[in-house]
Amino acid sequence: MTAPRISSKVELLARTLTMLSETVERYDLFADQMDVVNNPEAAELFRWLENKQSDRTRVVQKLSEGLTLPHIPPWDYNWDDAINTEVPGHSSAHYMMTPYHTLTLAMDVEQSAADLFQQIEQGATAPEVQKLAHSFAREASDFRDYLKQKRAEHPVPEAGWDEDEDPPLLLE
Amino acid sequence: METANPCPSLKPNEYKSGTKPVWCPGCGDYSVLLAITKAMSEMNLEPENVALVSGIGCSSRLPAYLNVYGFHAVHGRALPVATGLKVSRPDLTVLAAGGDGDGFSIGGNHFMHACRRNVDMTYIVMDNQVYGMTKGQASPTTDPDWDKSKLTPGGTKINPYYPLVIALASGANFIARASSTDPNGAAKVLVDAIRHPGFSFVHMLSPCVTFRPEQKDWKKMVRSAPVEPTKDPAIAAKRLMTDDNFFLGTLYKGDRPAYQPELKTTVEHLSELEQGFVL
Amino acid sequence: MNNSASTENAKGSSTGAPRSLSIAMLGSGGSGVMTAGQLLLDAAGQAGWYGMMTRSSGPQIRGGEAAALLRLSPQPVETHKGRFDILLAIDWLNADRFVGEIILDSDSIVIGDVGGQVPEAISDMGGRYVELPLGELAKGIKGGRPNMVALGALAQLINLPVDALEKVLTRSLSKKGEAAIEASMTGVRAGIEQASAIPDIPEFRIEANSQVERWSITGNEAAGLGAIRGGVRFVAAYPITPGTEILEWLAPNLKKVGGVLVQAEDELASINQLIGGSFGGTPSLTATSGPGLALMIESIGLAVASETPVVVVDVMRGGPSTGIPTKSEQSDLNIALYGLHGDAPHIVVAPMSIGDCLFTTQWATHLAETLQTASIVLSDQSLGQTRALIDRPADIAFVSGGRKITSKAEDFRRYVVNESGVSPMSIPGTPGCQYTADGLEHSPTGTPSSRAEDHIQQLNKRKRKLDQFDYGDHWAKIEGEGEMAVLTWGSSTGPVSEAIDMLAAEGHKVRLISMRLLSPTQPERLAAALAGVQRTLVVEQCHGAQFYHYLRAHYDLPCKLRSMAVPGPLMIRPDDVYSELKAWENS
Repeated sequence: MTAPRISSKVELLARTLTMLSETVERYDLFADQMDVVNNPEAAELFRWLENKQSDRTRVVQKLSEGLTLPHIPPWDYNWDDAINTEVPGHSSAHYMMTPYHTLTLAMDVEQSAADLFQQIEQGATAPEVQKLAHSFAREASDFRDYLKQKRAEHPVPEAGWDEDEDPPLLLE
Repeated sequence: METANPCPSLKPNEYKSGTKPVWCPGCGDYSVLLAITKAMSEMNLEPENVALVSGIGCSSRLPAYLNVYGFHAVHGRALPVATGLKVSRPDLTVLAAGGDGDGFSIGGNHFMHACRRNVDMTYIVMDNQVYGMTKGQASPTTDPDWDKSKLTPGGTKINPYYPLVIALASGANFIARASSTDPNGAAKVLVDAIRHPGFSFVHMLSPCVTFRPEQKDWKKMVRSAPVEPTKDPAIAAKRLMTDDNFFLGTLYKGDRPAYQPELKTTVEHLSELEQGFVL
Repeated sequence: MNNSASTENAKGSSTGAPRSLSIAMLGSGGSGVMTAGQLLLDAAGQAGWYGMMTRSSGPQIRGGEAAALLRLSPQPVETHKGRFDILLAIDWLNADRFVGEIILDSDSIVIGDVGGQVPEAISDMGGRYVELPLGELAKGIKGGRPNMVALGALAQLINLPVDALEKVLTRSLSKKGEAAIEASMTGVRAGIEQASAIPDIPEFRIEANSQVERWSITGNEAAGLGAIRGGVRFVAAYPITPGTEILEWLAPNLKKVGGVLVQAEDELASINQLIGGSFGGTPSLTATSGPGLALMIESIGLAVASETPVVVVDVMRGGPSTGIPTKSEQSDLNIALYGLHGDAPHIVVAPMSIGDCLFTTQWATHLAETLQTASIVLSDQSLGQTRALIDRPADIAFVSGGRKITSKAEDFRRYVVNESGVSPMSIPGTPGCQYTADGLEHSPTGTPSSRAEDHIQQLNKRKRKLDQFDYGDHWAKIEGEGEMAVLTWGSSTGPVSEAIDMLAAEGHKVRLISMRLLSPTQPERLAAALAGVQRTLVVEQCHGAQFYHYLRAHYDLPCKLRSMAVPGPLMIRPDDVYSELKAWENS
């Protein structure tokens, strides 16, 4: 997505907070989904990711203390499923996804976030925006690297990982 | 772009009921659910003043996942139920929802007449070009050569249904298309649809990950229509002639007044009704 | 559950009833339990055994907890005991959902993967717990899956010959290639090896080696075949659980016999398409479930009034309204019998077993065509979606009857009043015999009429043609003697039959009457069937005792009647009927 031109620190904080809290919600949704489809390994990982993002959200909330953040309507965010974006797309989940897939998804999220913050940094003129964007970008790429390490602990899925011998069920 | 409320009183996830959906992970309907909650949040709608009526099918499970008033009706009959509700309770914000099978097959007749009648409500059809809940049959919007259904093994070989064309021809007052691949853009369309008086039809593309996995490609095929909504049906019709089903945006915003009979008592006493019998 | 009433346990049957084996396989999230259960059933069939399989699951379309429930036996079975000898779980996620359906006791064997956590509700029922490294073994095989290891383990435990398994696996995986077959067989062998090392396993063995030609078939498939055998060549289809498989089976097979299936936009369209097809001379049928039948009611009345043959198969599910779509119930009797507005006599029949779905659908078609009326076939989810190994059903040809067609133009009157009540029909294309079929009451020529004499003539005719027809012995299955009887219908016949066998083994004689023809009523025949009976238990799977009230309303029954009306979603068990009969006997 094309990065918006951000002129103020409060705007950057508002956008980042929305991004993080929506990511937290998405990981929570995916964890619930994985519970429903009896995929406990993926569910556990999504909960872990949710907690990590919650921590970061709290940090950004702290940075925003005492400031009045503008409300940005949802359509002014340019997130869609077309590219793995800073907020995971709904279509990224699969009921048989393995820990490897889960961590790959999270890595893509962090990479997109890092890219986005970098673009914001480059497009910004206010130094405090540049500084903040820079640190957010750093955090995201650090976390991405950490996820990569974690992912290496899990086997690469074999071909046929998503093969379910039983057909889908009919309900109504 | 309309200015949104400075700070919504309820966050989008406060419109969710907490019931865990039966939808498969990866289903577009999760995103539609999100878009609806974002729209309601931006509009500051009170949950108790919103009613969502649905039919039968995967998409029609939606009401249970929101904490507004909901009615999970029978197959294809969401629109008449919603009509009865809105006409007698014009104070409510009435939404109707369902899938392409529910809405355009068994519900097709009601769809036409609901557009015609132009009651003030918003109808969201989550189109995945398949009957999901009965194990994958062709729906009215399925391409004629899709051959994966056991009921139509060679493909349906008949023209698909064009929801926007039917809506326009039948008189719907607001016609738009959005995609589950962009819940934020969809939220905008929904806000406009709900705000616009009369019958608003939102054609929501929502891929089915289980029966139409190839629809994952839709996210690469959708794009914003390069036009502003028109209030001229002829212009709208012309645009539809080159619609490939993947243009997103609001096509048409008409100015027909919404159908809403006045609910007003004009007699002081019931006995006034008996005058005609008096000898 | 009344354990003392159970006549089968691991220590061997004490009552002489043939030993059957009940096996439950659980798993979730893509573990392939249904597929494995299907293979086990097919392999049992290969080995000369009989058996059946039902499925149960959570509400998720994918990934949900699933149970394959099998009963294997030396002779045909179509009902579950309720009690299971072996429960094997590939995983225990949300397995407590199945507790009501899977009864275990101290003699049952419960097998789980190493490190699994048996839900308390299941372990509380008792049974010996064994752990097998299903997941680990599967991981060690390239392309290996835990469900194949489980399959092997089960086969070993029940002494199912491995070559029977190999044969069905090879056939089912032939499209996927050698590697897939090999991977599966390796998994199966690993399971066999593990299971053979379990100490002190009771002897589970089915002594059977049937040489008769047998089929593996579901009630829905059987109904589809029955339709074609009955002459159906036009089908209008609208999908609805649990009837869709009839339509799915018919789509390609109808085509092969020169027929056609059209997917309609809704049930109102389907039933009316049938009327059109039939008016043109083609026997026509559709399949639906309760909600669909409700939608079709008005136009079924049109078929009756215009005397246009149609067949509607209602694969009943839990009601009312949207109800419980994936479970069985016998609660559409009322709407089938009484749903049409006005006085509109028509045929209602009900198959009583999976194989009988074939005969009854064929018969229903024959009756609709012969009597120029609507036939409603009341099947249900438990018949429709259960797969059973059955003896090949006999080919039945109805020698007389069929549509009475005329091409005689002289003095042709479509609705002429005659002795039999069946007026010869002309088929479009026949010169001189044109007429307009009508839902409006009409004179013998078909001209709309509000006259009293036309109405009484046509009403009498439409009733007479059904009442006077000789339905032969097909109207009911009557077995056994005794001063106690059980009156039942449809899928309840299975458990009732088995309960009666249990009592017979103890020396108690009970007569079974299962009614296949529900409308028109057969009062004389039922009176004859109940001659000498003092007490009759009426068994049905519905809350409102619809069958019981129907009997009370339409028949003078000489004996004392008692109602056993149990709603879905759980199936009535033989033990339940046995207990009820025993209690009444002793009172």
